Amino acid sequence: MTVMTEELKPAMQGYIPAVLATCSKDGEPNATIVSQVVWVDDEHVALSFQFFNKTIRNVRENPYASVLITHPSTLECWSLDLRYDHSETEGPLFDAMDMQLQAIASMTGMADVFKLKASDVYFVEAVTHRGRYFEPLPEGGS
Amino acid sequence: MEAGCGRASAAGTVLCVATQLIPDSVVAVTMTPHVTTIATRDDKNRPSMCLVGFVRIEDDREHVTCFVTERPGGDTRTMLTASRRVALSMGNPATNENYQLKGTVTDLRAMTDAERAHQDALHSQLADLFAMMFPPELVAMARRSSYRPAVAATIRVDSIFVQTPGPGAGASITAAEGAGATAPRAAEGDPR
Repeated sequence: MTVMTEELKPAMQGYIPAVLATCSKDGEPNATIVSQVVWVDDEHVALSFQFFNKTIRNVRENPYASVLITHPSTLECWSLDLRYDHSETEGPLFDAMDMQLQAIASMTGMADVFKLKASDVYFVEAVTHRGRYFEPLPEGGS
Repeated sequence: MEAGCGRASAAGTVLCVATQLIPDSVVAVTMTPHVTTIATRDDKNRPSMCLVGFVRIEDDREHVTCFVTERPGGDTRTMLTASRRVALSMGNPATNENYQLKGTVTDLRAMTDAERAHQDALHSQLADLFAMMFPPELVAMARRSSYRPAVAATIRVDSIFVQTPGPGAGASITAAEGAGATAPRAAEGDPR
């Protein structure tokens, strides 16, 4: 079942940071910014695992997550309902994400801070269009 | 501030700063154009997320009011009231200073005119900031738009964490803890 379409790809370039929601098994939500949301195939994305330990702990005990991504030109937003699948600490996906993360770190002055520990691969259960980050003001005011 | 704090006495002004839950550093971020999202979850512990058009810290330094966008693809009010437990991720995009506030939704209501004016002022500052970060077309789009429609949500905060990228990320900075006061409370009705 294909749930992701090509129109989502620009929203995964990292131009506008994505935000990830997870939840502990006890029902405590957590929100954090993620540096990378990478298209793996039509049904999977990979997120960079750097240092957000609470997020990692949450998805290991409750595999569901939701990530909000934003198209950098149109400001259209989508939420992706995710289910944690597995982590990769070597191989082509990890190497590509590591290289991209170093580029992001260099551009944002975070070269000494960002270090990829793993590429966490999630199954995409659903994609929901969430309108635009900002909605146009109506004619004549707000 | 706690009742009685700041009052004059024979010995001088009574200071109760240590009882404030939300520290000055978090208040300072909310005075600047900040970017915020709110995470919540349903009764099956499946998380969801909404954008927030700014956060205001209330005078008691225990409650915040945030303006949560209402967008297609999910009913914001239902999401916020399903469990009432929420996590706000809030940061200054210019400095990467970021915090997470956790708490319980205590009230939902329509925004007031004064809140819309406050939101518009911060939105204008955010668009100015975007002008240094994004292409002109995107900045122009931001200037012609707003976070509305949105609902005003009052949240009773019980814990605060650093989310600024770096070795300090994840540290609890709930002000009352540092002053030796009570540890963060479990919110009313929260099943954790």
